Amino acid sequence: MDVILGLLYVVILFSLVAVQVLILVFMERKVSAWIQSRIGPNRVGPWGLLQTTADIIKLITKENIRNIQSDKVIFFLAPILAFVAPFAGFVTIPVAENLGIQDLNMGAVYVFALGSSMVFSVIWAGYGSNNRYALIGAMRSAAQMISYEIPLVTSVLGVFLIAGTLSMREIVALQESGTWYVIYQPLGFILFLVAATAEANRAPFDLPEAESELVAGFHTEYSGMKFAFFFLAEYTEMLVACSLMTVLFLGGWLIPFVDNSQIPWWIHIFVFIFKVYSMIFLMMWFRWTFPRLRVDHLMQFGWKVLLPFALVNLVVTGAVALWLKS
Amino acid sequence: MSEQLTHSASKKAFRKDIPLIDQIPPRKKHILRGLPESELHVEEFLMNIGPQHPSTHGVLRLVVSMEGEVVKSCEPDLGYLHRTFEKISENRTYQQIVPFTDRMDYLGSMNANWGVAAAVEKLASIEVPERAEYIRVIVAELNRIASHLMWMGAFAADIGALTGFVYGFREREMILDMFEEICGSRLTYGYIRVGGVAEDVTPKFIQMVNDFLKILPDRVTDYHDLITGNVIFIERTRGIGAITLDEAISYDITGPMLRACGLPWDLRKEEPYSLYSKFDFNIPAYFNGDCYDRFRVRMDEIMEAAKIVRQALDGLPEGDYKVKKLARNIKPPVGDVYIRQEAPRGEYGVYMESDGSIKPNRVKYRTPSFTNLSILPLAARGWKIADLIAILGSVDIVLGDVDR
Amino acid sequence: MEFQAIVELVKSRFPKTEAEYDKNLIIDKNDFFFFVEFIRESPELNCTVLDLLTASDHLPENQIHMIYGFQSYRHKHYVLVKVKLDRQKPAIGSLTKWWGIANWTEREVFDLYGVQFEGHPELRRILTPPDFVGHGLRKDYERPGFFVKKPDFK
Repeated sequence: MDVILGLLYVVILFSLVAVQVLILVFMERKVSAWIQSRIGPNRVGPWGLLQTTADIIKLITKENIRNIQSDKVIFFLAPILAFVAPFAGFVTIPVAENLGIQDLNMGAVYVFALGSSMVFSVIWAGYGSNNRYALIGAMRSAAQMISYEIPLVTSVLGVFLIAGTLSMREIVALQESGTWYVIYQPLGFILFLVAATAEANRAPFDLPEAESELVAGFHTEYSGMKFAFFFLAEYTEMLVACSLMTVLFLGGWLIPFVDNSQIPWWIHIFVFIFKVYSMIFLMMWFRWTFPRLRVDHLMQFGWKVLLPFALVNLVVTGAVALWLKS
Repeated sequence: MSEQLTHSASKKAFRKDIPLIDQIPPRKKHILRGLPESELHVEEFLMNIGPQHPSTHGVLRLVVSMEGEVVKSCEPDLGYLHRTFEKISENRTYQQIVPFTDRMDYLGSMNANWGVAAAVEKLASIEVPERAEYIRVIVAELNRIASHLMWMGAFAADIGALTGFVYGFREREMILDMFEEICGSRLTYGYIRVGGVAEDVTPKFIQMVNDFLKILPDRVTDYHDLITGNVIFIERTRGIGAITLDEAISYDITGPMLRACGLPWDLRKEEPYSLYSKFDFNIPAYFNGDCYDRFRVRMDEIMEAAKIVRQALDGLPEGDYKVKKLARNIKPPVGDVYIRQEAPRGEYGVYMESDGSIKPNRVKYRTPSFTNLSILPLAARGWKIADLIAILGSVDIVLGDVDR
Repeated sequence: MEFQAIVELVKSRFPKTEAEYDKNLIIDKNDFFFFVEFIRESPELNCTVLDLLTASDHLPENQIHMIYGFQSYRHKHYVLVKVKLDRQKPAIGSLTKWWGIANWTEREVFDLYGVQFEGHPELRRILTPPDFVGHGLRKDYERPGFFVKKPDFK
């Protein structure tokens, strides 16, 4: 029975995430068009709403091309892992009170661990496709993800110190009685935002797929459905990062200055989605405004700016928490 | 030598409204030219960029050998767009040559047309009416603005700011609309012809130019806000691909690239052709010779070109727009002529040799893209692969102009 | 510097020099290297820029003319120089040791006219493909036909 229920959850989650990604791609196009004073897609369906659907159909029906010298197994596995890792991260994220698949008592650790395993898929894709652009993209990506993992995790440790728990649902519940953690941890929030943008390979940190230099980076050789999986993975990762931000810093589904127990659960869902999409909009805004960093600037920024600030933030938070307790 | 050559008038920086950036001391130049000896065993990594690649601006092929991300050597491979225009020109009458030049520098077609027209006119001693000269100046300067705007967008896209690309196209579109109004085409005009221009300007065209000149300063300020002051942009371009003035002279660099090295050499000022001695305009110049200065030179040139258009439009006289009676086949006397003009990308020269028949014996197009590109192997050595793209973008090549 | 003054100055050093069309100098091939050194280093001329390097084919006279344009940024004058070469075996000294640009422009002239530049570090084709036969801008160049010759079935 548990297995069937679990599978059902997975199917529901997958369809929900896939629909979200469709909406996100459409949103990306419209936001970029708006920033660039264009119109954006407006031909397929009302207001171009079906444009992404048409694109997905095109990608699914496309011929699957593989470089003859590529490593067959690795080449095949990379896009699957790329999508599965962030997708599985959704399991612990609570969308509303009592609405989430599974609340783990180590939820945050689980999500970060899955995020780290993304590195494998990128390296596999770069190595397996036997292409020099892809190889350089993969190497950059590995360096970038490993270096930004550390400030990413360090910046949220302050939240866990204050909350005293690693369970997502409890963290949100704690924000109901007090204030949102973004008030306590403004520096942590900014660091997390920057590191998460880098972790999701979004511009200005999109070096792994820097299109002006490396054509398409680690997925240069991919086409059709496999490319669609990478595409899906990028947006899923963004969705997970923004959901984490919402849960850890912005009070999850909670509405401020209101008794939340009186409000029906479906409004909570909308509040949650609204917060997530605001953060996603911020990321899109970054992407379409900033130039791309260079690889050594990126490393310097990660190790010399983000990490020291994150550590200082952690130490100060710990000291204050200790002082308040005693 | 380079210090003596620099113009005294340009010692003060041309733009005064971005003083903060100027106060940052420039990076040490050529710090990476001599590559440090690596203790590790590093294998050379050969990468082929192009001829089909998003940022080679056409069909340029670069064979890059790298150590990690650092470019050790970079060898451009030309000729993918070689369409033998010089040979074709030898087999056409003098008037028939003009449309081919559109296809060479397709972002500055008006300037390319003008070079050939001026060369034939000098060779055959044809007097051009004053109104035609004014119209030529107007369209050539408008085309310079369009070319620089397009370059700005493409350069921003090379750096990674895709939004700049669309903004550059937005204003370029207005200029293309004007050209469509006067000559009916938007890319290959064939408008400036031997003995004048193809059509007279219309009142609607003048109205469009006026409207454009009104909005241009605001838009350029927008670009400065969006791109010039951006920290990442400055980080990506300041000091990158810097060349000294001596290197620039050795490689015959002309145009905005030369002016970014500190020599305010502009043929419109130094050897005024056509009507340029009548107009009041400045030659922007900066001193570091890096990508950032090339960017600033071109952005300033947009405003200077707008100034010239304004003056030319105000002084536009009445009269003919082309020579009334021109022989169907011009037969210039035996001789040769070398015309040099300041095209958007640099010095555009047309060498033409006549043997007394209706066809030239030899036509040579000295195109700025070809000579400016020749410094790329030197300028890119020791920089990262991302910088190579930035340097290549800052050279402002048009592959049709390189390969001819 | 005016053209007449330049001609007199050059003629005093290189007596074989001629003036053409009142604006070009024609230099003897044997004097060419010394002339370039002179025009580059002498304080009166000081032409530090090699602005133009090309050739033109004169089939009736059986000559190939090398055309050089020298620009002085300091004195703001421009000297157009021609050197007449034998059409059968055109060869002239390379300017690559003085100017970086000469590398590419000489390769271009070699590619399209077949002029040999002595002392050029890597004289190979630049605009046409490496397996191209002939030199395209020569007047007697004939384009190979579009169609493959019919095989002879005898």
